[in-house]
Amino acid sequence: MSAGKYLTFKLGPEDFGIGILKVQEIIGMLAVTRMPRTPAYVRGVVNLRGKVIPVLDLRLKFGMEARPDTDRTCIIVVQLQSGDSVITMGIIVDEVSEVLDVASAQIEPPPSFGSAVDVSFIMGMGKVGNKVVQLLDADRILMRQELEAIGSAESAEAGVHP
Amino acid sequence: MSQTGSLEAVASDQASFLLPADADTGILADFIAEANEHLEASDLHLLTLETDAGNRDLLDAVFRAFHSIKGVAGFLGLDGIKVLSHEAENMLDKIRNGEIPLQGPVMDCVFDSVTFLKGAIADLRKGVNDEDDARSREASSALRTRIRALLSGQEPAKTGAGEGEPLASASAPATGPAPAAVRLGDILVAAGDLAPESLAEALKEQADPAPRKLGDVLVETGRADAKQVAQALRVQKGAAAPGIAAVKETVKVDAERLDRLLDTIGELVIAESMIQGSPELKGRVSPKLVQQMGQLDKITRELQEMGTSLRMVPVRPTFQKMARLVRDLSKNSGKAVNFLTVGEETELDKTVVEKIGDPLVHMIRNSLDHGIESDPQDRIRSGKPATATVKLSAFQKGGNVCIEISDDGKGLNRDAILSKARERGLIKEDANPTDKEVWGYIFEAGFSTAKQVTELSGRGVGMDVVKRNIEILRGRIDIHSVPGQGTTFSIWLPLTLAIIDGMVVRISDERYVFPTLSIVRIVSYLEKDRLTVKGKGEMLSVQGELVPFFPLKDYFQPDGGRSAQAARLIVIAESEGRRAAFPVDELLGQQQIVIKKLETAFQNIPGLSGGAILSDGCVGLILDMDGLMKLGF
Repeated sequence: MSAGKYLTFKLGPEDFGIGILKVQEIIGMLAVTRMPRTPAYVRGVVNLRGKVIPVLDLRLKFGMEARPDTDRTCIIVVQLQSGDSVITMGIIVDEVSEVLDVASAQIEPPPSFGSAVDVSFIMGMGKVGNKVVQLLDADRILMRQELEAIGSAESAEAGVHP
Repeated sequence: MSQTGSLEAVASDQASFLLPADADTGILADFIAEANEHLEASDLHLLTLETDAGNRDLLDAVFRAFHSIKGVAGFLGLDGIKVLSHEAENMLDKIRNGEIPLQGPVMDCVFDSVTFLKGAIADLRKGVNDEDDARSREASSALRTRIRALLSGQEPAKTGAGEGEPLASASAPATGPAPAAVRLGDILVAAGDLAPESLAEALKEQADPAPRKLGDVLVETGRADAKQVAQALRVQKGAAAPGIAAVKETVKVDAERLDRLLDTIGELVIAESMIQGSPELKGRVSPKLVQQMGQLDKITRELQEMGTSLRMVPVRPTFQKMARLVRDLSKNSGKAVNFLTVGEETELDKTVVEKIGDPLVHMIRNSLDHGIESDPQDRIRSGKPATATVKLSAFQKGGNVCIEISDDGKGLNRDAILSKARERGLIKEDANPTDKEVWGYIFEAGFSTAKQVTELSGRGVGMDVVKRNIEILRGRIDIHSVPGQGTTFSIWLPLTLAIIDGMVVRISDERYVFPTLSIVRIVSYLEKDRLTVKGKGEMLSVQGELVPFFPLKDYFQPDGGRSAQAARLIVIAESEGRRAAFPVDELLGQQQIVIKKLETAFQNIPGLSGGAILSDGCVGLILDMDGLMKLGF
C-alpha cells in the first residue's frame, strides 16, 4: 500500500502518521482567530508569515474529547488536495513524535472497529517495532463537500439575526 | 524601392499564409510578439493621425511597423504576410512623400491593413490551417486590389477630403497644429512669458506683410526670448502628440515574481509593525534606537508604497482599444460619433485594468448601438449636434477610481424598462420605483434576452455579466440618465485589490474590520434608543431615524466569548443603500488593511470578505457589508 516516510504525532494515547510529503512544516501554537459560524473542529485562522490559513482541531475532528493546549501542542501545516486545488491548512495535534519509515509489509488494513477515530480517515495500520501507528489519508481529513458545507449550510439553519 | 518590380511579381494570390515547415519557432515567437506590439502602436498612431494628419513622426512610425513586419515575415517564409505588408508599405511611402493624402478611403485602407495583419498573426499563434489560409488569401487579395486602385487612380482619394468624414481634419494645414492642439501664443501667455496685449500685436504683425511663424515674430520683435519660445513649442508638441510624449523606459517583469516581491514586502510591513508594537521594547528604549526605528518605519512604508505602485498601470492602452472599437462601430452603423477620452494617465491595479476591458467594450457597444439615435435628424430635432459624442473618462477620487462612459444619446427609456420589469414579475403592477431602482433592472440576468424590440432591450444584453465582473473587482456601477440628453455609466473601482481603509473594532473577544467607506457614523449606545418594532425586529433610533439593530456577536459567536458586556458604541454602516446599526465594544483605530484571502472553505461564510493581519500579528476578520445587509433583511 502506501509505504514511505510518515510524520507521527499523538492525540491522547494514540499514535497517528501522516505522509511526509503532505507536510509543509511544523510550528508551535499560535494565537488563533475564531471563525464564526464554523463547526467546532475548525479552531479558526492563524497568520502564517503573512498568509491566513485555517487550523483544525484534529481531536474534535476525530470525535475525541477536547483538551486545553499545552506547551507541546503543535500545528502541523499540511497541503491537501481538494479537487483541482491545493489547500494549505494547519492541524492541531497534542505532540509531534518522529518520522517513521513504513514498509508496505508493515501496513495492515484498518480495523472496522475499535479505533477512537472515524475509520474513513485511516488508510491503514502501520506496525513498526512494538508501535502501532494509524496512517491517515490526509486528503480525506477535510473533504470537498465538507469544505463547501462550512458556512453556507450552517448559516441557513442558524436563526439569522435580527 | 528597387526590388518593387520583382516583389510585385511574387505578390500574386499564390502567396501562402501557412507556416513553412522549416520556420524557426524561436524567431516566430518573437515575431508574433513584436508584430503585435507594432500593430497596436500603429492603430493608435493612426487614430492620432486622423486628427493631426501632418504628424510626420507618427507616420514614419507606422511606416516602420509595416517595414519591419515585412522584413521578418520574409525571413520566416511567411509570404502572405510579406506581400501584404509590402503593398501597404508602398502605399505609406507614397503618403509620406505627399503623393496621396492620408484621409478618407486611404485611411480606411491603412486601418484595414493593420486589422488584417493582426488577424493573420493571431492565426499564426493558434496555428494556421488550410481554411484560414484560403480566407486570408481572399481577404489579402481584396485588400491589395484596393491599395492598387488607390495608388493608381488618385482622384477619388483627393475629392473624398472634407466631406462626410467627421473624424478627419481636412481644414488643418499640413504643418500647423491640429484644431484640438493648444496654440503657441496661448501657451506663452499661460506661462507668463508673454502679455496678452503683446500677443495680439504680434499676431497682427505675423499676418502682415507676409505670413510668418508666430515664434519667429515674437523673437524678432523681442517680445519673448528664443528659449521661452522653444519651451512653449515643446509643450505644444507634447499636447499634440500624446501617444509619443508619454513613452518611458520600462522593464518587463514576470508577474509572478512581482507578486512574490509584494507578498514579501507585505510580510516585512507586518513584521516591522510587530516590532514597533512589542511590549518588550516599550519604556526601555534609548533615543538612538527610537531614531533608528523611525528610520526603519519610514523605509518600510516607502517600500510598501513603491510595491503597490509597481502593480499600477495607466488605463491608456485600454482606452485606446476603445477608440478603435468606436471607430469601427461608427463606420459599420453609419452613426457619426465623436469619441473623447479624458484622464488616460489615471492608474489602476494591473489586474483591474485587465479585467475592465470586456465590460467597457460591452458598455460602449451598448452606448453606440442603443444610446445614440440612428437618425441624425432626431438629434437635430432635439437640439443636439448631428454628430454624437461618446466620452470615456477616468479620474481618481479618494481611494477609488471612477471610469465614466457617457453618451449624448436618447437616454434610458423608463417606461419601457418598467413595463419589461412588470412583465418579468420583478415589481408589482402598482409600484412606483425611483429612477435609480428602475435603472437597476437593466442589470437583471436575461432582462432583455426576450424580443429585442426597443432601445431598452439592447441596453440590457449582458449587463448582468458587466455588473458581476465589476463586483468581482469590488466595484459598483452608477447610472445617470436624462431622457433625450444621454446616459452616463460610472464605474467605481478600488485603486488596488489588495488594500482597503479599515476601522478595527473589538466585539466580545474578537476583532473585526469595518471598511471605512461603509461607515456612516459612530455614536454612543444608549439603551433607551433600542426599540422593538412589530414585524421588523429590533431597531435603533439614531437622530430620529430608525435603523435595524444588528448585534454581530449573536450572529458570529452565539455560544461563546466573554460574558456579555454591554456594548458602548454603535457603528452605523451603509451598503447598497441599506443601513444597519452594529454594536461594538471598542474602537481600536483606523488603519490600512491588507486583505488576505480566506481559504476556499471560508469564502462561503456570509458577512466576511477576508482576513487582515493586525499590528500584533493576529488575524482580524474583514466584514462584508453587502453580505451582512443581505442577511439581515
